[in-house]
Amino acid sequence: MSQVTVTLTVNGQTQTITTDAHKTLLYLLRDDLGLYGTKDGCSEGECGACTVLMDGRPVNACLVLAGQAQGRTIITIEGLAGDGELHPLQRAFIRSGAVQCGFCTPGLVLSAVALLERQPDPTEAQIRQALTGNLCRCTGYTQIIAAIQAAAREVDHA
Amino acid sequence: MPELQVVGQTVERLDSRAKVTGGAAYAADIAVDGMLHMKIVFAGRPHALIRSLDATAALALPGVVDVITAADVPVNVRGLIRRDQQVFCDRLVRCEGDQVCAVIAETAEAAEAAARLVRIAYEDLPVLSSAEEALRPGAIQLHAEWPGNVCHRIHLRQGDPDAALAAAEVVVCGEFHTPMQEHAYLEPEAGLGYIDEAGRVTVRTSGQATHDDLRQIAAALNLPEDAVRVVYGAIGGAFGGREDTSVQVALAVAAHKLRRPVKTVWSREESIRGHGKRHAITIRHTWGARRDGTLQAAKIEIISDAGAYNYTSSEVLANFLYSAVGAYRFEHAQIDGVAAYTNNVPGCAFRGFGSPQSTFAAEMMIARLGEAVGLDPITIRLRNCVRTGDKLITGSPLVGPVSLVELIEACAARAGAVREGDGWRLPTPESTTPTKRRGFGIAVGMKNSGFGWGIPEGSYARVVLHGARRIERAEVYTAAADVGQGAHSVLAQIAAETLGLPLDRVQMIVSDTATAGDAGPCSASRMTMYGGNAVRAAAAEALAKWQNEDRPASGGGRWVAPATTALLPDPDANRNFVSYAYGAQAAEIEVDIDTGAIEVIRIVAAHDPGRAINPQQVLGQLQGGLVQALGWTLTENFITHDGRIETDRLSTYLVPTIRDVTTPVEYVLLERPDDVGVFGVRGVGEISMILPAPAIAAALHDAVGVWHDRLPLTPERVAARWPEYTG
Amino acid sequence: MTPFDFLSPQTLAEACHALAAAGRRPIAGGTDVIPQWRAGRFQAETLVDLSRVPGLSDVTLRDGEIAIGALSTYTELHASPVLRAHAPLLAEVSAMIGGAQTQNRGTIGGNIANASPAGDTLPPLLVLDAQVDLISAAGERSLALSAFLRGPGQTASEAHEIIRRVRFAPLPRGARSLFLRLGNRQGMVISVVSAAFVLQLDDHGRVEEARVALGAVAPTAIRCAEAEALLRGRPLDDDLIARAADAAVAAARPIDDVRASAAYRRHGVRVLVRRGLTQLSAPGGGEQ
Repeated sequence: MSQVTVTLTVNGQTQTITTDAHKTLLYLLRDDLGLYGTKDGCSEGECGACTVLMDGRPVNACLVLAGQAQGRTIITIEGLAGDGELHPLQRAFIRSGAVQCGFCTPGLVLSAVALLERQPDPTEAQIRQALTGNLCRCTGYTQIIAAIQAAAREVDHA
Repeated sequence: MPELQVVGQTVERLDSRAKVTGGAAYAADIAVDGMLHMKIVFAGRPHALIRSLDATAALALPGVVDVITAADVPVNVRGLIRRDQQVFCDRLVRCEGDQVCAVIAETAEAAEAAARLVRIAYEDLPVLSSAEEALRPGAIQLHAEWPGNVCHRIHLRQGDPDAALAAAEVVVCGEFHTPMQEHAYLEPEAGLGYIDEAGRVTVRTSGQATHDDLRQIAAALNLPEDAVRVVYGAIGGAFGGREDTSVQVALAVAAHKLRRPVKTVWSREESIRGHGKRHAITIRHTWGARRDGTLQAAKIEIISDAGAYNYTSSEVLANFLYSAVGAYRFEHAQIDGVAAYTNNVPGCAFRGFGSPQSTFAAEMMIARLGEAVGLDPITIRLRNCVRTGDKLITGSPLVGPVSLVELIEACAARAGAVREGDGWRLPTPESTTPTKRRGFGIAVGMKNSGFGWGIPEGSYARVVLHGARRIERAEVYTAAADVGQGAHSVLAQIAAETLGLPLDRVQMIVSDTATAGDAGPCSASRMTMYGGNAVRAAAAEALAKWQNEDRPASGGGRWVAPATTALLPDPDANRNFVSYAYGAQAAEIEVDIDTGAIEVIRIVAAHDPGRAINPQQVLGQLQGGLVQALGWTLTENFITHDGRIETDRLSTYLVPTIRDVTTPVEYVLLERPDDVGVFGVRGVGEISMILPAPAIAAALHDAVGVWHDRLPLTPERVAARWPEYTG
Repeated sequence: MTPFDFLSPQTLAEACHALAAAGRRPIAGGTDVIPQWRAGRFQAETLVDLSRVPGLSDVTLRDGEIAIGALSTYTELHASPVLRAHAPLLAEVSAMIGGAQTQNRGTIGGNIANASPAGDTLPPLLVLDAQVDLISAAGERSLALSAFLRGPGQTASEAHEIIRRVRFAPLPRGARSLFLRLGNRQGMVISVVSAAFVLQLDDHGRVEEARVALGAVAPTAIRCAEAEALLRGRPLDDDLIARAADAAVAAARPIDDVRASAAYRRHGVRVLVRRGLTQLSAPGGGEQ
């Protein structure tokens, strides 16, 4: 089976990985790097559970081929907390009750991180627009929106 | 009751930190050295004879270790209530999701490639694609043991409904159709089978009841139950869809045979084919009432599509014995129901367990009756709804305080309805857009908590207190599943409260049949109520021993729930349930008369959690259930054709996105403590799911003057009933 | 899900060369290719990744022509000042496709190459009279989008050809344009019916130029020539709008599928065309 060799930066660490040519970034992260926080919910870009940040933008890792990640900078959910200190959005998700089963949570948090970086004080409509591609089946979304608003306030006042 | 310290507080869930950092391990996240990979070969056809199975080419592929078939399963059946499905089909396939064999290989890729090389010769058979078809005389028979394809029947008769209907001043009729619903939990089925250090056949997976899974595995492998172990890690949602087994038995068979760890992970398409659905049900009602709107008699027929195997179809149907009449009092009633075997994906548990369907029909009926007798929707409901001291239609006393009247009034008032004379004046919302119409609707209902019907119920828990002078650490052992609802955290709060400890000194040891007895499933809104009782009893016992100088001090065992009865012929002997949840919801909608699109503008939801152990989590349950109901009502259109699922992806089966849930929901929470639930709790897992559909359908009628008796209310269905429709 | 090889050309010439061999197909954002490959509906021995090819993701306005590099993502199209000023309906539709993740990866070239009847950029591109520029080792050619789209998933391009760019004239000052669609939910919508319009009215409310395109109601996105002919030169009143809607319905050849029936789609065409034209007939409606 043919292979690709990819050099990419994941959560601040530059690595070179040789893996199957038809593997997606999702399974490169999970199987080759053991980063299981990125979830597979549909493998066709419909649920957003595999959302990671690629060069700062949210993408579905299930729709990026390993070779296409060459030279890119990837942030996964494991790379968000620095020195054990949670990202404000992670804290807000906990405090606002935005986490139930948690399978959608890594993707949602990363989509929200990208939103707040571009739009520090988003309107509710902007939050909905930014999170359209992340399905959650447990919470009914209200507590997720509340969490993002709370984090935006916290970042704003920091 | 002394003032509570931990119970009643919104505290951080025990699992949320791991879940926001990516550290929580779901079944697919487990990898161990030397692990094999399993690819299940599904039938992928609704009804067929297996003429032959040839695995030669698959076995020849490099990396393939084995292909396991029916011949590898000592007792080749599984099933939660009725063991009517083969683990691997050896002769007959009855639905697309039937498992025929499984390929096991050194890599997932090899397993998948080899699965395509297994040659199975099928002879397709005629397909029963609906319950009505299956019940027709002369229909082909799907299970020899269940003649006429009758999976289950229910019958109840109280009073003399025929005479009462003949004499009734007002008679209203209706026929209602509710669709299948896919659970669409975000985590597809997955698991790891292995032999543990004690030699037990172990399956680590996601489910709703460790011990139910264990019993099915042990039976299939013909092993004593103590030779099997089931462990759950983080679980990515369940909603009833994980009550039945999916990967469990196949993984156990593989690990048992090969003595190596075996992992399997389903794709979304496999998940949608491979687990059950909310039942598609047709319900026919005839109601008789006095001219003043007082209900007298009901005759009700229920036809449920059980799908290819029973799963929980018999129990879901049985719940119609009380829920078919909604939350209303009748003197005379006849309820006849049948669940039919078909070649569809099996019907199974899904949040509400039949009550969303029964409530939709009953609420559409009361709405129609109100219209017929000229009473507003609130008054007609208040006139007929159950109150404290009333009985179910079975004769079973409604134990505990019945808060329904209070909830209806609170909901109506918050929604803007005003008492006027003998009745209520409802809001009359108007759209400002010429092509849109607004409407207002209300629905009320109840849902049992706990199984009832005489099923022995209880929950096991054990608490061990460590320390010398003070309790340094309390270990709580429970096998309860945390399917995402936060059960472990709530049980920890209950332990902390009982022990008088801060929460951080409680350590939960959970979801492992090797460390705790049967907690019972996370279903029927029962885990906080009953699992919580077990934890409190165990903690109290341990605390007593601690005070008696035991070190460590241990308490617990099986807490037994108050007994219930099956449906008994003598109404006075019935005691079918011991706890209920009640609710009332009002909806304001705006419908686009050209496109048929419905926008839900506002919802008021009045509920009674008895006592909220963790108020934030109670709201999470209510909102989550409500939004699943919005999906069932509006966007989730599960389509099968001749037994084949056509909506097997999240791009064709449309669960609500964050853009679809723009409705502000105002919650009115009244805490009226229940007698049975721990600290007075009532189950809140399901009640909010049963009301949005009838509230929205009533609002739609208010908006456009059309009764819609078939869900979901897709834009096409709504538009097609408008006079100017040109399609 | 048969395995494939992966090539990552660094220049357009390399990409053309790479695709010249048999069994090779291009991939860009992957938002259509990968799901179709998983479903067994896309076969290739080797995928040639275009994402590193420079110069294919600019949006320019030069010599009275807008050129959009095929690798421009929906996010880039939505943000493009050129499109916002001169083809606003294309900028708007780009924010309506999938979620942010899809918009960050999916490309306009991919939407064209995928040739889905429901592809949401296609009706807007049709009313912009877009030309598709193809390049291969054998040379370059250009054809109208309407000729490029042949059927569901079928196009006029050969396996070795790459979509290089799409071109069209900027909308004239005062032109009105709009994209509308019907779907079965609010987010992550796949269109059940879509419609795009470009309209120019004279000072008396008479139609000078009319272009109407429909999506998801025929084997490809289509222009409605009869409706356009009917509109041109006439005052845009309710009667004309109704007749144009009739003509559009007559042009549609919808099918039943899991999303909607053919009947609802026909009804939807009437509703969207009526609504679109009514909206555009209002003072300042859809004007740039």
